[in-house]
Amino acid sequence: MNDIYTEKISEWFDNELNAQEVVELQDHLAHCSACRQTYESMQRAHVMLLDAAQTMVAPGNGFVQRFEPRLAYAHVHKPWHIWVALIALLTGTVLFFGTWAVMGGLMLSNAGASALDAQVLYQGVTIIFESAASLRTFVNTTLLFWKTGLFLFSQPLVWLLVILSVCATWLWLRILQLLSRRPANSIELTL
Amino acid sequence: MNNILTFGQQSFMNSSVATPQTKEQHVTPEMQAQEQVWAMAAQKGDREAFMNIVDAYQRPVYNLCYRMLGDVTEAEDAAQETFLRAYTKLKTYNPNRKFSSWLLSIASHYCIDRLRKKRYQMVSWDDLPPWQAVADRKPQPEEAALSHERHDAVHQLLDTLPEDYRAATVLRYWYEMSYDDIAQTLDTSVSAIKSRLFRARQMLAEAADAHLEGMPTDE
Repeated sequence: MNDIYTEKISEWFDNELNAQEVVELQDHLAHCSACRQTYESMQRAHVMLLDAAQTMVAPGNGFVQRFEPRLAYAHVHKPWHIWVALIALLTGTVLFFGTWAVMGGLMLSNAGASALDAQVLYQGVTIIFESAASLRTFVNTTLLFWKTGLFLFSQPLVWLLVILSVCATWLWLRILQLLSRRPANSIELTL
Repeated sequence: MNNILTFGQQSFMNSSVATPQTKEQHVTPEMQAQEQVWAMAAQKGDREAFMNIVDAYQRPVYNLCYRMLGDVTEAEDAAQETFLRAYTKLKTYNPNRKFSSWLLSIASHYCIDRLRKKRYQMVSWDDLPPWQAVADRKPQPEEAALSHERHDAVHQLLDTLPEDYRAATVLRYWYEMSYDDIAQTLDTSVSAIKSRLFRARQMLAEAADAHLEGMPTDE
């Protein structure tokens, strides 16, 4: 048996041989029993496949209807959306707590630090990020934040900064929405 | 000698066996003209145009997935995933290329990846208890009938082929693609496709012979 000829058999099935090559192959098959046996085996499989290929299988009724919700979901929930949403949340959080600590401290310094001073405020923020090892620490931290919160929210500038941080978060989500090129009839992105 | 001549005249002298029989075209010329219009509209964000594409190509895409994966539930999931990927990759579609080829290329690659992952999975879907299987949708009557086809000889034969060989075989037989088209669809060379089809036929021939030997005789 010759591998060149067995490859030619495969090409012959695909009508990829010219007339001369077909004649040569037929001549070889007439004299080589091993190649002829390969040809017969391949032909059986070939005919079986040709027969099976007459049937194109169709999906069950309602394929398009089943696909629509999947497309709508994927349209809103693209993998990179998660990252953009995380950045949005992170930006908002950093802005909110950052301004709380820094601006609050600055304002207190300017106000003469009558009720609380900047150092106490700083401590409040750092304690939060340290582990709240005991209930006492937790209660103290909560009280500290409550007091600083009451003080800070009485300041118009802090309100402005809170609004700014909310706007920053909204802006990120809006950019996300625009980047996803939402067509008119798709699901609304709830902000 | 006489025996050889008889064999030659009756069998391999008849080259018609190499010609795939005519069948209903899965992509008509009208569809090809329309597909470009829909593809252009879909690229601009027209989702209705894309749903028309899904409607028009659900059958060829599903058939490819079914022939590759051999299971109706998996084929449905793979076909939907194919359209989903096509939608997200629409911007990369080159209008100079046939849309159907592009779509079948996505389907082929997805099915090949899926089969590879399945091969390396420790637990297959079949091993999972029924309540953990993905299929929460009851198969429709025609799908239920098709599930029997999974066990037919052709699927058993196709199952013996590596993923790449199976894809080339399915595209050749079911879609009557030329070597060039298969190479483009599977992102490889024409010589690689020739080789895959040759090896696939060798393996199928061996499997078919083994299958025939294992069958009970009438005597």
